[in-house]
Amino acid sequence: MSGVKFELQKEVFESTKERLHGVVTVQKTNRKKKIPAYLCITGSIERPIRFTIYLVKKTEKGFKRKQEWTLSSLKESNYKSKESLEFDLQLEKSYHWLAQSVEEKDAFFALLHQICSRMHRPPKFLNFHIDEEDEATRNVNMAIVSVPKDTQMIESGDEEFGLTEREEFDLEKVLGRAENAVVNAEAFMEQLAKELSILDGENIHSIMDSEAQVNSLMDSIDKSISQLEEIENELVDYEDAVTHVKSAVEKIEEENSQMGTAAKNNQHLLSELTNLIRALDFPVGSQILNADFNSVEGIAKATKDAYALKEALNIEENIHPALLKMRSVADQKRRLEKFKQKFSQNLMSHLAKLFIHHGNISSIDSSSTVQALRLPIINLMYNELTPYTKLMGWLKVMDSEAYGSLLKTYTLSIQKIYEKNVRILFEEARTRISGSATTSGKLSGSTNDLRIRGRFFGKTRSLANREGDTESQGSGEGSVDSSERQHFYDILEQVLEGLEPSVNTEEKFIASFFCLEIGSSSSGNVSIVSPSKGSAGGELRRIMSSLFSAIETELNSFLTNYEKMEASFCMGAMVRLGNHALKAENTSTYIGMIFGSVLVQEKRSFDRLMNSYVQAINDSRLPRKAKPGILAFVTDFEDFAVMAESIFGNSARRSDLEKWYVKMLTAVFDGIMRLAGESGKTPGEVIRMENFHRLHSILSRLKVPALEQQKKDAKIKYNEALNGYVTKYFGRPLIKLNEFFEGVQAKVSQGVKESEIGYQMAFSRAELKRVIKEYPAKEVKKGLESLYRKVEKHLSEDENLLQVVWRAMQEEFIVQYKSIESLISRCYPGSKITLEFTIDDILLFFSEIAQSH
Amino acid sequence: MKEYKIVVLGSGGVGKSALTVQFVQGVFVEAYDPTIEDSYRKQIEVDGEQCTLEVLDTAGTEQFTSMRDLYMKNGQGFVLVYSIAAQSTFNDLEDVRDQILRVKDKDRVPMVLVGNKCDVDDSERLVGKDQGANLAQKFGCTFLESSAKARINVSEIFCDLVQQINKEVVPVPKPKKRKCTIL
Ligand SMILES: Nc1nc2c(ncn2[C@@H]2O[C@H](COP(=O)(O)OP(=O)(O)OP(=O)(O)O)[C@@H](O)[C@H]2O)c(=O)[nH]1
Ligand SMILES: [Mg+2]
Repeated sequence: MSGVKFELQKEVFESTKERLHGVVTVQKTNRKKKIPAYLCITGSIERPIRFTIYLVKKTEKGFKRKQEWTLSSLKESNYKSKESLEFDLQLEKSYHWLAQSVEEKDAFFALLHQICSRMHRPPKFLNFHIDEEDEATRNVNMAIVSVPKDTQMIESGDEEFGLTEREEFDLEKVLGRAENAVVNAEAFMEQLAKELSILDGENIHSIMDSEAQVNSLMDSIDKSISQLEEIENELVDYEDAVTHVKSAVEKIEEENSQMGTAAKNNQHLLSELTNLIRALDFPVGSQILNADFNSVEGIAKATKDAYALKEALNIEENIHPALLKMRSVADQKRRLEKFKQKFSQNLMSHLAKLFIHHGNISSIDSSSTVQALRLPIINLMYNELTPYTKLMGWLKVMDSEAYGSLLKTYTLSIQKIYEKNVRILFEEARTRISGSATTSGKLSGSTNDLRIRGRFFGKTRSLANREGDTESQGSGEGSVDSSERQHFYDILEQVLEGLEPSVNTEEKFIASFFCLEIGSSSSGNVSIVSPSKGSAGGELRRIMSSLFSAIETELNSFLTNYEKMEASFCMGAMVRLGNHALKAENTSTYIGMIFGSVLVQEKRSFDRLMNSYVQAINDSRLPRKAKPGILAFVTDFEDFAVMAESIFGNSARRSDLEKWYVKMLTAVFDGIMRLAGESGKTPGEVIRMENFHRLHSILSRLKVPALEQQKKDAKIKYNEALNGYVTKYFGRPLIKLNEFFEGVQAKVSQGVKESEIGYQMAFSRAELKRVIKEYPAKEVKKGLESLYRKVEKHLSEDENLLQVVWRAMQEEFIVQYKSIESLISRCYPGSKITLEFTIDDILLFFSEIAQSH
Repeated sequence: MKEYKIVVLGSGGVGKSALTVQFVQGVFVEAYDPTIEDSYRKQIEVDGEQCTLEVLDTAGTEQFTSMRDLYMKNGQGFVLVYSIAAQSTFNDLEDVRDQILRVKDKDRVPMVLVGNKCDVDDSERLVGKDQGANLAQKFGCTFLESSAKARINVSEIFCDLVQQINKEVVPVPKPKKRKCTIL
């Protein structure tokens, strides 16, 4: 065993500067092949001692370290039992080994236990008892490593007790030399003692020899000590000095940083003060109170100063709130506040004077309103006021009370101008309408005397007698001719054009001058943002309506007044107003809104008027004449449509008219049918024929694409009526022949061949000849003549359809003639029987009769 | 026969007239002619009862906004129309609804929110159906997407409104907010 140990120490651990303390020969428990291996415990020669466990294998080439673990990685060791060779070590994992002998195992465990017991956190030892240790130690002759008692075993391994290998070796050598002398121990001892005393003597000798040297050494040591002390003293002095300097430097440093803070603070204070002074500074001072508002330069300067004052008064925004508490700040503020009040007072009274002045001068002269039929644009005032715009903006922010009162003054002063001029404008418009009308006299004079009706109401009363009409039935003679109508519309147009620019300019001026501008409506007329939305917009609207409230009332009364004389004026009024109100540039303007509301009124009048027409058509009766002819409402419709077309043309409001066209025509169609059914003497077919014929030609002339369907319907209805009339009144002039051939047909349908009809008693050739004889040419002509007279009596001159009807009858006669002829030739072939007159005769009769009338 | 006064409101060009004419006359008006004001009458049967509707088609153009107060005062039920192809027409309706409640001085007024032109391509749609539904929920009213062109939900709008008006309890005047103060 010790041989192996020796070899291991030499071959394996010498090179790593480790000492092998214990070894056990082991096999892995689970290995079949029994290659022996050695589990070694070593400690480093160098301090601190590090203990390591190695697993070493022996191969042909010698020992080889297979694995190594530090001792501290040992967590647990299991001795198992005294009878078994097995044991376990719990390292990074669990290892199971078989020792070669119990003794080796015991010795290994004893060693392990001993080393580990000194460790900080010793591993657990299972099934291992200390008392066995001594025995084992005794039994196995192994080097026992003594471990320093010090708990910090690894760091501070003190002197190692026990014999080192060299000592052992020396001792053995000494003992070896004396081997023979063992027998003679006493002599040996003596020899030893002798040698010892010699050695002692020599020792003392050499000690004595070195005394002098020692003494001199001591001296020099003493000397160096005293020198050291000196140096030390000096060092202390130096240190004192350095400490002094250090504290001085520290003091300086502190002072320095304090000075820095002070400087920074000063800077802060300075900038704060500069800020404050700049904010509060108002170099103009009381000069602002002497501002000259009468020149453009003066106004510009006053504006600049006023904004500087505003800036100065706005200090809250620029400086720390705490600074506001400063007396001087408060004082300055008060001073500035006083400037502001005084200045705004000055500004206000100056502007108020201007407003009043302009209100007065501009309302004196209204000649331009009269001459041009135009509301004046107060450019003189706008030009004079515009330079003050920025000051006004200042006032609005700085002194809303003054601003409000100025707004009021302005409204009151300017109102007069517009109120007066609006009134004059409408008066002039009335004068011009009646003035030009003197030729016909219809629109002149006082309204009470006027009895003006639309032309087409006068001619026929059917449409004129509308519900709620105060006029008497006989009022038809006074009617407005188209030139008067045109004149009225022209004046109306001039009025609208005369109002618009002035109102728009005023609105723009107020919006900018009083800072009431609102973001213009972005989406054009696709937006219905209520004007009351923005407060600025609402305010603007409010001012505008107090300035121009007269327009809406004047315009409304102007229109109602003339529409009372001529209801159809609302049509043109609607078109003209529509053009102005729905102009894109009037989308969100005040005048656009005024026109809009008046337009709604006009639209309502228009709807009422149209409705009354429809009603009139529905209420119309047949005239008491023998021949009703063309019904009044049919001609009325044409008159109306011609006039309406001239008014509406291609205007944007055309669709409103077309809606009523359709309704009116429905009433006309229904009316014709209704009255045709009621007629006594004149056949209904004639009424329908004549009226639908007329309606068709009216619609053809009108060429309104929207009425294409109605035109077609009229044509169809006319044809139906014509056919109906011809069938009914032409009838069958050759009635007996017709009846004869009806009999023939009946036989044929019973199965008698057509060629054999002649052999039937009732239908013999003789019988046929007899019937034919009853219709000689002369009789036929006579019959046609009386028919012509009847038709003539039915038809009216209005539509002159006699020729048309007569021709239709001629055609009908020829159709009948041809059908009889063909039946004769089929049923009586080769009989050479013919009627007593030819087609040529028929044509001759018809034309002769027509010409003779 | 019971009469119902219905007012159709909404921005210009959203199809108020097209819807009204489709409802009353059963035809689609392709052309766009800004309305001034048109009034129509139509009889329909709602819940087995004949009733006459007087439908007032109003102008969406801004110039006529001053008439709105009057319309709102006289109307019993309101059709609030926007076009699903124009966001601004949708945004405008909140103000209209507020104005109705203000004029009527009520918390609830019979009303239908209508997103018209629902026949247009998806690519042209700018107002989502959910946006409409959300607004209607906020208004506490019915919501329908309609098309005057494709005749979708046209009569439904008016029937629903009649039902709402029928359901309306006899109006108890809203208590004035001002309280008596004892001096
Ligand atoms: N695709 C489509 N177009 C529609 C529909 N409804 C209306 N339109 C079109 O939209 C345009 C405007 O329709 P209107 O009914 O005149 O609009 P409005 O709302 O009456 O407009 P204002 O009278 O100006 O207020 C017209 O060209 C219509 O043809 C719809 O359901 N679908
Ligand atoms: Mg419309």
